[in-house]
Amino acid sequence: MQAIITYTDAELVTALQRGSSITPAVKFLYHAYFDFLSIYIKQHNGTTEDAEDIFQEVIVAFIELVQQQKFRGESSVKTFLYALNRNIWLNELKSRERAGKRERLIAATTPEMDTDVSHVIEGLESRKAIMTIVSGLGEVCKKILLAFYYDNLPIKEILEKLDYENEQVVRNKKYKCLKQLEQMLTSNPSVAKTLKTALQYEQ
Amino acid sequence: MSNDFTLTEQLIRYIDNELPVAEAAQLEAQLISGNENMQQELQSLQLAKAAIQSLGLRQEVKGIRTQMLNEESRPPARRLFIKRTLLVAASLVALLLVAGIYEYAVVSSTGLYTEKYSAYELPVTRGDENTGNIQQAYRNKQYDLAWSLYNNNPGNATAADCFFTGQSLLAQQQVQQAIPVFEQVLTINASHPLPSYQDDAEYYLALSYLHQKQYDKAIALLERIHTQTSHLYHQKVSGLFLQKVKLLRFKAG
Repeated sequence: MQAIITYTDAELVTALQRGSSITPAVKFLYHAYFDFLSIYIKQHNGTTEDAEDIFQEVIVAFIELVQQQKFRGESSVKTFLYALNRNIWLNELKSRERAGKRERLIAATTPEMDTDVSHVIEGLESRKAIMTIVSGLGEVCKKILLAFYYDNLPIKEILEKLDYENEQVVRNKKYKCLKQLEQMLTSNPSVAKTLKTALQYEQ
Repeated sequence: MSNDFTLTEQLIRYIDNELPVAEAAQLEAQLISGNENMQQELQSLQLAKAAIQSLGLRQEVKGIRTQMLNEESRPPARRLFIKRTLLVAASLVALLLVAGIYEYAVVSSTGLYTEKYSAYELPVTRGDENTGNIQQAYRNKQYDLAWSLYNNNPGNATAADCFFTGQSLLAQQQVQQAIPVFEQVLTINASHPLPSYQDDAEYYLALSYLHQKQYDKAIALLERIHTQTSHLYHQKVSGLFLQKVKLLRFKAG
């Protein structure tokens, strides 16, 4: 196994910004915080699989906040991730209706959440719904849209990966796919409403 | 604004930063002026873009985690090397142990004696007048004659007489009788200015002791032969052979 690079909080935030490879930083996050946070899950009715799923949710939420420059660094990364982890898990237990007396008490007495944490928690259900909708997009559309909007590949390179005639054909396909996804999302009213709120927060 | 593109395509080009500056400014002016449909569609497209980016991030994080788990489940090269080396070493130790146990079980004094004994061969001579009668009898394989000649006057026997008498006895597998005869060779040589058949007598006496399970005496002579590189029988007494004799001594208790 390759050696894990370690980061200070400030270095971690820099490493997670858009445009650079996040792999070393993500490996560091798992190495430094997964065991610690998974103990909480397991001590509160969770399994190892739950710990993996929740931690992935925590990491994604944290990275998105960092990339949107919404992580202000008022608390340490450790504290922030712990708060995310705890609240996401309690929210999950509630949705499974499995929260025991102890968990309900913890949820009721949880101190006021960091604004960013609370926005993440508020958007959890709609995020799940969004991911379900996006996953329902056709494979070709997903491939094109991910290549363009996530991997930031130019149309020319996307053309090389796909079997289309020319760049304009790929561009047209991209327009259609994004439009299709937009319609899939907006046809779900609760998703659309919550996303609108989330967008206002991001702005 | 270009009429070649629909509004949706214009908006997509806008969020992709592909609109020329002038067109982008025109679009922004329309948005600011309160065109609600345009505003809503822009927001929806931005949300779709954000959703795809979120999916991409999730997939990437999941991929990294999978890679980490695969690496952890695969022992690192160094650990694998150490593990394999230890396995080979353990196998060798086990093999040696099995070999040792087998050797312990099968080794015997007569077995070792038979392995090492070969009849003493006289060099070819051309009527050497100094050849004694006993030596001649041994050469002619007249072992009883050799023994009889020795017994006529054992007190006056030379070292050579004793040696060939001993050889004659060994040839007839009378090992126990050969021991005092070979011992006599060493006794005679101890006070003789020119010892003869000293190395030969030591070797065959050691084998005779071995055959008769007199392990301490055998080991004393064999160790001497083994450590003396100039001894005529040094090559015949290997460390392994010595260890086997010691093993026999251990077995005998």
